[in-house]
Amino acid sequence: MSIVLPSLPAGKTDAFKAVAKFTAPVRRPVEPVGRYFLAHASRTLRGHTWSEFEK
Amino acid sequence: MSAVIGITFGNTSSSIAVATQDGKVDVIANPDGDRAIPSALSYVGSDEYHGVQAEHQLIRNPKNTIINFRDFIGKPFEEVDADAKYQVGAPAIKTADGSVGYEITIDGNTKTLTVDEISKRHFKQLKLAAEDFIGKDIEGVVLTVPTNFNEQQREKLTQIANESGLKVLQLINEPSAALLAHLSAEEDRLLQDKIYVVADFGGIRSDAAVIAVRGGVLTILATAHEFGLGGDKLDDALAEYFAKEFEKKTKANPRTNARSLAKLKAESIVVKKTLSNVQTSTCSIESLAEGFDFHTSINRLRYELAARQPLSDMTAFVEKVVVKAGLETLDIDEVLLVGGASHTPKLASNIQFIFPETTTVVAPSLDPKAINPTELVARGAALQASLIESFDEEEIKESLQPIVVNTQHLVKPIGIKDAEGKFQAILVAETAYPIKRSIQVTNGESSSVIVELFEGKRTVKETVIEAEKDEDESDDDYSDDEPEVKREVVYEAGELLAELSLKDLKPNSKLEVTVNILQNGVLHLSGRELKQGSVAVRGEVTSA
Ligand SMILES: Nc1ncnc2c1ncn2[C@@H]1O[C@H](COP(=O)(O)OP(=O)(O)OP(=O)(O)O)[C@@H](O)[C@H]1O
Ligand SMILES: [Mg+2]
Repeated sequence: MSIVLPSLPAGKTDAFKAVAKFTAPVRRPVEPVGRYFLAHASRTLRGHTWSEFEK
Repeated sequence: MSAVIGITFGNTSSSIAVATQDGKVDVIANPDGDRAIPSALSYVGSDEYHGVQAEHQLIRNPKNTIINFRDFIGKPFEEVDADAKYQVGAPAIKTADGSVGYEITIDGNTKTLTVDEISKRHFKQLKLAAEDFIGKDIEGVVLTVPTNFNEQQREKLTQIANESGLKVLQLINEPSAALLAHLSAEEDRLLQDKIYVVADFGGIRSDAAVIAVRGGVLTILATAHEFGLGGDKLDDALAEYFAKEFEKKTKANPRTNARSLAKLKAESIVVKKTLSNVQTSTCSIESLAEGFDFHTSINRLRYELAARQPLSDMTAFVEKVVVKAGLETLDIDEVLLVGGASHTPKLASNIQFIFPETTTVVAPSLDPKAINPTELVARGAALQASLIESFDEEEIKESLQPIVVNTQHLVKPIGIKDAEGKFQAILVAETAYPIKRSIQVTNGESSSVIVELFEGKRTVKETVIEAEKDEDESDDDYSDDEPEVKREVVYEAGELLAELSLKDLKPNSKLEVTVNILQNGVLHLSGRELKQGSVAVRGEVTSA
């Protein structure tokens, strides 16, 4: 049941191409509760990598 | 030895909870055996009564009994509604410094107690109950507040708790605490990306919040508050029903004196709670008015009719907060009912009725596994307390800085298109970043594939459900009804953001697509084959 990617159309050669910007984000407060917030805080403050939290 | 606890302090009741390291939570009973401890104090002679014992004094000794004071904290007298109908007991007065207080007779002397002093005494009683139960000193507490408590109220409450000997580790919002408790009941529920409505029906107010949970992080999208709407209104409806019946029987009016009213109210509360559990309840009040006793019984249906107005106001209130968030009921995955009045079966079924079948409504009358709604907030506070227990004050403060808390959120989902043209979200709307998420995909039979990164576009898919042809339609009232239309939110591929190609693949290889949005708003897209030594293809997209 895994997701199948479309085949590469003929003539497309770029390994990567940026097409458009994503919609401007909104700034909102997150709720400072729960362990995933603490992980978010560490990431923001100390730039910890994701894998450190995935352990 | 010491412990950290969670406390919720409501206008009507307060609860204390403590969590163990493995995430189990105990809600603490005070010496009276109550887990929902009435936020009430009463003074008789030189004695101070607390909780349910104080509440009982509302009949005999109302002038020295103080209830419903939590919302007065940190507010000048002019800004509070001291004359609201539910403000019974000792009347609130303006103190010398312009805040709210009460004139109380203690041991024959008249004394003005400020709302700060009353709250402090209340906290001291809660602290005693907690220490008694746990058998340890209380080292710190996570306290909950309504989302509309302003900065001044938050500061004042913290100060009051600290002065009562309860060191405040953190103040958190009530709906977030409730949701945290609900989502912590089962492993991994926090990690399901869903939109919740947390609707809290207390005694004298109703509060609601729409909360997005993304990667375990909670974001409030909208809040609503209504003062005067809550369980108290249900009591009044019941009291009026009984008053009418009593009048018919005895020709005596129980509404003309305060003592009769207080008796009527106290019994109505008991009957109301009974009717949450069973279909009928007796009601008996000795010497209700003019020397007449009152004995009757009522069934749930009659109660629900009598309380129809407040119940439908509460239902409409939930609808309002969804609209305030710019959403439809269709967008809500779950509604969590919180607060004592949420025990009311009719309230839960009314709310279930306004949401589509795809929305789960969590309430004790609908789901026997639901956590007691009166305890949810305190449980969440206890979980948070045990979570931050090992951090020092500086670390907690640091994590609450605006730079951490005020976070960018995606407005639209971001994902890829599969071979059938279907949009597959990797990150949903309202996801806070920095965030990194990967999905596993495959190339199928193709040796080269394209990863097309899109923003999702919300659409509502309508499916007509053909009415089942029933052979023997006995009560046929509905057979001519319009066919039922099932509506659901479906995201389609909208704006194309980037393309990335992966080449020279063996059939059915395992591939991974990763979206990583950094704090600076740059989105890193990468795709690679999941095998040793494979080289990822990468690129960047920025935000408008
Ligand atoms: N089993 C029950 N069935 C129906 N109503 C109940 C039940 N238990 C408690 N209540 C009602 O719930 C209300 C109190 O709710 P809760 O304890 O959540 O109050 P609170 O947070 O202090 O509220 P507020 O600040 O709005 O006064 C009261 O009106 C009480 O009678
Ligand atoms: Mg409450």
